[in-house]
Amino acid sequence: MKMKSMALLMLLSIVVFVGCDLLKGGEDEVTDPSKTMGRVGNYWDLQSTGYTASKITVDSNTDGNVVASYIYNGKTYQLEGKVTDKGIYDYVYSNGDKNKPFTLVKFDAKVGDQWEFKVGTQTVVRKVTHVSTDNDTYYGMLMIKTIDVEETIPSGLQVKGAASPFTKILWKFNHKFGFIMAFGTKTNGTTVNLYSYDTNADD
Amino acid sequence: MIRENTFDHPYYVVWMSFRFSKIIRNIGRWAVYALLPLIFISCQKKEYSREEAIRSLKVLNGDVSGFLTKAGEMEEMAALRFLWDHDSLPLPFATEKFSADQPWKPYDFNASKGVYSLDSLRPVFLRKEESHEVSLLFSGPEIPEGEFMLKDYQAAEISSRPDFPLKLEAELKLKGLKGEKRMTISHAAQVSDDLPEAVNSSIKTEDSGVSFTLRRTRKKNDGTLFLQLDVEKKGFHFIRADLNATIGYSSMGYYFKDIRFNMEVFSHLATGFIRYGLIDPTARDYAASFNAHSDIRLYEMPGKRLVGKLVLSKSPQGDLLDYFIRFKDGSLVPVSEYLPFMDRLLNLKI
Repeated sequence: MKMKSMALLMLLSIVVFVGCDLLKGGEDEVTDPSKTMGRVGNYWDLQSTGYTASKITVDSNTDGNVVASYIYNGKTYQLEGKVTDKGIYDYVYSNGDKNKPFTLVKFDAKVGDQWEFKVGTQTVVRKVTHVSTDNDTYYGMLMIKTIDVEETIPSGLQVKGAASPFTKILWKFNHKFGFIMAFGTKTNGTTVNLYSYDTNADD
Repeated sequence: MIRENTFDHPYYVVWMSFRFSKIIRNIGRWAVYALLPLIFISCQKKEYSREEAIRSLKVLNGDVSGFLTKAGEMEEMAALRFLWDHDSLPLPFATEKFSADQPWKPYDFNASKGVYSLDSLRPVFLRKEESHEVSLLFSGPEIPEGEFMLKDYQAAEISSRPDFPLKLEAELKLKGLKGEKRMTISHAAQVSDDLPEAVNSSIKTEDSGVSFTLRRTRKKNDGTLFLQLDVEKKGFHFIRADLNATIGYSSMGYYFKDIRFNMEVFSHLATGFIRYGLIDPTARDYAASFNAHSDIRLYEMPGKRLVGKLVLSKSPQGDLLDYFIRFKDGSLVPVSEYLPFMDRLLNLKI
């Protein structure tokens, strides 16, 4: 009887241990800045049709939580996110709450993978629509592989106190260079593109 | 023998005081006996049955719908809507209308000063003469002749666009059949950390008023937020709401951790808390996470009878989430079924 109890206890311990490990989901991701593209000082040169060129630079990295800044219209803005060796997460929809990262991309993602973020009854969906098997996208002088993530934003969803101007954003990432480009579709049907043409993230 | 005045006798005074206290104790005892049935009744679970709750929700919806209809029919509101629809309006917010999809120009109050009138051919306000304020003269097919005056305006740039008004003083005058109607708009605010820190706003007509208050505090990366709203007509406060929240700060602004609120609307009270920081927005079962960390109840006053509890659940039609009211018998009905106006309020992201 005692043996039976011990065996049951052990079995329960294993279940709890394995269960907890599964629940952690992603906590085994490496956040050491020297091993990710979130190293302080890393930058991405950005270009958008109709706008002056800009640059986003990582200012700080605390346990993978990065603060990056960029200049737009003469004013400096900050963006927060999380960068690990496995992927990139952002805090746009949680307004910077570090306990609520939202997956932007996983470098081992497969077509059909999907991540959701709920705000009340509304849901922001990010879905992997394409994973290159060949180098099929230009990046400066290079041809690279990309992981494409389509983000669908419900109408009227508030971001920083105003309704999001976008209904869809198609993101393209690369496991070495990080952000490659984004195509945004606005609520009025027009589109905006933003692309990176240089980075030191792979140095 | 002259009899001594009994009332001056110290023993009599002591005796009387004992007697008096005994009388009081007896009265108190009888009062408690008399109140026992009431206490007993009031201690019983005061929760409406499903049928009673539905009746109560219909009453609430009728009250609010009636209020919104009457507010919408006010000539002052019609005049403000009329002005808002004109793109040429030399007023703050009017040209941008809170759209976030394009770079905006801050409103220049000094450059906008003048007397404007509505062109007779095109729906455009044209400046007619100089003035120390912005004065708009207008009339329309469904609104009486009127004047809107922006007397003072100051703004500060904050993280959310457009410029956040620090000071606003405005007045609306309408020439109605029953004499002149006036509406005054007053607003004062302070900004810190690129965010509103204190706001006092009010809109007043001759017999009604709306006031709004905001207070935000910060200590390092933690803080509090307090909001209060009051709507009254002829001294009767039929909407009173307050919200107390603890918040956290980030470079993007602030986010909610805990929210506690009370909202009295006519004869109903919505009250509860949301432990927002504990709700996982990426959870596979988000509704379960929301319901586990929130408690929102609707009561009918006076008597504080529980109408139902507000929960998040999947709609019967599919996987979409919706807010529901859970009745005493455990059944759920979508909030929008009996309170159509609530849907818009609940989907606001603060």
